[in-house]
Amino acid sequence: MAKYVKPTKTTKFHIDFNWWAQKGHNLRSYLLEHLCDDYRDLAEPDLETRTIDWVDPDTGQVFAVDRLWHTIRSHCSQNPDFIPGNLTLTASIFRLFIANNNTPLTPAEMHQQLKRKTPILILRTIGGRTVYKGVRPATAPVNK
Amino acid sequence: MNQRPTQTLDFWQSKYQVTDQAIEALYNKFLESGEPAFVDEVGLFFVQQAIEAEEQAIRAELQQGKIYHIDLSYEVGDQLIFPHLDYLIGTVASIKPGYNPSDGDFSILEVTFDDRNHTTAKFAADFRSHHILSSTYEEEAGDGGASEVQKIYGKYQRVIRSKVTQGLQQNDEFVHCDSQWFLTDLLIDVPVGLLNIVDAAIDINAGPLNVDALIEQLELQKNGKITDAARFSVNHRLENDPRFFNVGTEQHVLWYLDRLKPPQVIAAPHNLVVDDQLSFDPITLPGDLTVFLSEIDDENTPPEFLKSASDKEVTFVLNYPHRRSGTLPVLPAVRQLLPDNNDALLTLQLIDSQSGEKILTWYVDQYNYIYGLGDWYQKYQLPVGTFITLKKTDDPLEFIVEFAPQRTRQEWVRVVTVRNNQLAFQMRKRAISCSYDELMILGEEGSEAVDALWKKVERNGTPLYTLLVNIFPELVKLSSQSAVHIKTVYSAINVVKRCPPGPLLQELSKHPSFVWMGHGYWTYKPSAK
Repeated sequence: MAKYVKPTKTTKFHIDFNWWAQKGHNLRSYLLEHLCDDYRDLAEPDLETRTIDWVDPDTGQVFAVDRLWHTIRSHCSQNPDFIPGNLTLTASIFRLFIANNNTPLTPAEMHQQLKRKTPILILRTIGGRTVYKGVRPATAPVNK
Repeated sequence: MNQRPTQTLDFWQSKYQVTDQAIEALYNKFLESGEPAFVDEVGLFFVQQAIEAEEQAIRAELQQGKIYHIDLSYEVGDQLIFPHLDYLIGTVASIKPGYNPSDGDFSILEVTFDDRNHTTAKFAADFRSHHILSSTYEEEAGDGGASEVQKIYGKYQRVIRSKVTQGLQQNDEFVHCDSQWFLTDLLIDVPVGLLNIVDAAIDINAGPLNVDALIEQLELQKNGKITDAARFSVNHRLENDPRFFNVGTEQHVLWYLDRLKPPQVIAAPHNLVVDDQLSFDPITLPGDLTVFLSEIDDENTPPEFLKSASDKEVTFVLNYPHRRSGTLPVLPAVRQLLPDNNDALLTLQLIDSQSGEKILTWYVDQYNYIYGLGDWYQKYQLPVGTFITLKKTDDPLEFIVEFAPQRTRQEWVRVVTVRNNQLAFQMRKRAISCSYDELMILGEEGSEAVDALWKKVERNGTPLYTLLVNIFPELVKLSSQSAVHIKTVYSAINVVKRCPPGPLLQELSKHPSFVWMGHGYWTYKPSAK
């Protein structure tokens, strides 16, 4: 098990797709929750089996990600209400990463874009030992 | 972006240690130069060492394969180096097309990492979209030159300096004096007998001496020249002898004798000590009164209320406690002229602008005053209320002190005396030959009686309110408007008790018997008690 290093306000976070695979959690069913109404009906069965090759904007690593990711990012995230104010903080952060193609962000940058909570509160939420929705520090290299 | 480890805080904070090789290189540097070095010079030297070691490692690794760039094409069997992943080296095991409608066509390389138990990972290649790992991406690569070393040191100075100090402290071969380091073996021998000469030289000089003057006395020059090694050796020797202490700064070392230290710089003169009971909360003060906090020059007023001044000179009004103690207040505006000395005692030469005479004074940072001006005040008969100006010179330890002289005139001034164990004030003619603040000027008759009254007030813990009730009628009777300006009250109350303007205004405003008349004036109505 990797050594836990306490993140700080300057640590960059992203969605770690390996975490979803390692934990056996279903990324697809969670992504479905973020799909907008226009595409919800299309989601099945058309998008059932397809994946896309997502390229990490920092490391160049490629991960097979459900095609829903691409649909949500390219269409749903363009809606100004994609991250509504009443969404939970962890879900809001997840949507923020979908919208920016999972480009790593610090808690301060997340706060700036979400206009919610404080950087410290965001850090406390996602920087502890419990990983929410695969959002983790983006520092670990190959095969974290 | 291919950021090298030495360009990151994480490297200097978590990974960097002063290595044996770096210590040996520093040892040789000292042997070659024969001169000591400041900790920052050693820091820069170690950063240079670390960058060179890193470049050597990179060069060795680059011989093992091609640098990975996301936009380039590769073949199965190619050895790839991933600079952004700590220079990990992997082999391309397979290539297949990638699919992502957002990115267009690209390839996926399956790369095997032998150093990581043959783990595999997929990387994009032939990638045409914008990406920071593209070969055409402009990056900030280090050039390893002097500017790069300084850039890194400037950015992480605090962390690196602490590592350097720690590394050198663990090694007996190095010795330090303040923030300078040198080789123990290269110290010039300064025998105990010579220290007696130093003691005598400072005693005869009746003031501190710099290290060059002492080296000349000790005849430690090399071929007639004073070397940095000699300066370091003498400074180091004196620093470790309790008879001597540095009354200058780290850059301008001045040695003095501990036994000649005036008692007034060890503990603050009693006139300058503010009673702990005198509290002041600016929030409780009405807004129109806070203005007067900045109009009275008092070193105990919170800095945010004091007026700013030029960074070359400052003029302020002399109050009774400082006049009596032979001190100058270190107001924030004065402090910004003085060298930073981390609370240590410092001697300053104050040049009398009238005579050019140099006055040895002591900057007691801890208690906010400069001691040693008693004779100067006496010489020119400067009364409480005199405007004093302090000016910077090119020497950080020398200042010009002056008052604005005027033709001597007989003038009516308030004179304080002690009558029936209380302060009494009368208007008397006095010869005045300086410019002064009319509201604060005070003459004095019978310093011993005033001192005795101060001690009595201190011993009995007489409340500020009681003192004001006694003093106010005395001051009011000298005024044609039956009102007294806050500056006059401040000047008078400080004859028997050290009281900054904040607590004074707070006390006046909370008792109905003191009535605010506006424009700084107060009157006293005993019936309203």
